[in-house]
Amino acid sequence: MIKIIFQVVKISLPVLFGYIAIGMPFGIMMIAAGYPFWLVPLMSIVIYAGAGQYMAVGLFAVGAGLSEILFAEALLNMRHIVYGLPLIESYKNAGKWKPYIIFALTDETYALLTTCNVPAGIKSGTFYGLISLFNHIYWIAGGVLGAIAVSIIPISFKGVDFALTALFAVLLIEQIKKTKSFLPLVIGAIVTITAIIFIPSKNILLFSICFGIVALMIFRRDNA
Amino acid sequence: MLSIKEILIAIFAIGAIVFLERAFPFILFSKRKPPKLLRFIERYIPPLILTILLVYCLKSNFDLADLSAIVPAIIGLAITTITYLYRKNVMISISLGTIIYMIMI
Repeated sequence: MIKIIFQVVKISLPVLFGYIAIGMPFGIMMIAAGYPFWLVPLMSIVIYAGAGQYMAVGLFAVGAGLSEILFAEALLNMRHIVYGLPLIESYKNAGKWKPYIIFALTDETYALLTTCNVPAGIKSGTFYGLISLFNHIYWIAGGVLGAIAVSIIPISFKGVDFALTALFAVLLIEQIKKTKSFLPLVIGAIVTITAIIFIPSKNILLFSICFGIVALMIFRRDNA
Repeated sequence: MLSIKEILIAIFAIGAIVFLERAFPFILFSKRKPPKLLRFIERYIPPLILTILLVYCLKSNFDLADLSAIVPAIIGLAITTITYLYRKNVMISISLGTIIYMIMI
């Protein structure tokens, strides 16, 4: 078991750095907005969606109504509707972990799970579950650290979140090797750059994913 | 500002919505067989979404008025990519790229 945990930590280590880096600002914002400390870990446990939690702080602060909050959150996290599709087969035998790994399917966990192979000697469900659980713990820790740090001397962690960008790049290289096609890369880059220039910032991800999928369907050459 | 009770209700409701969105494809295809289209989705969607997330991450470095702002990120990414292609070590590549980026900004 210790060997398994070691392997899981090794694979998820970049997410640790990334989640500490992007979790801390969430904790800092919550405390700065005047909310009690315990809401920080609670939100990270129950919601567990980066952008969603950032937006929630803002919506709470302006006193938005519950229906407004839920509508905005549903739109912001709409991309998750397609995330599960490539994992349906892999998750079939996940056993008792299944509800949890579906709940914990964040951008970064999705990126790791669709790229990494299950190491030999580990049940796939346990592997997916532990990766998801460790990432979740990193995320909670990030928020809590931020909430603590805001009351102590602020240290500059400026730029640490680049670890997530670099992680996406490495995973992308592996994906392109698997797919043997540059088409998703070209389409993804074009739609996202277009969206960054022309689309309001909170809709960029949703726009890029929708148009990217449509463009892929139009341009793909094989009949897979 | 909302009261703590309103916030608690909102937190659990948001959690439920995000969970339902994540569970959507698993619920839809638990009984029926996923369509042929799914093979296409399985193969092409992950690299598409990774590309989108990657470019999206660079958004904070992207400024039409000052394109040089993107240089540290491009150099960091180039270092990560090149070292990864040669050494295949995830941690070394990510650490090197991130450290160079942090020094440059």
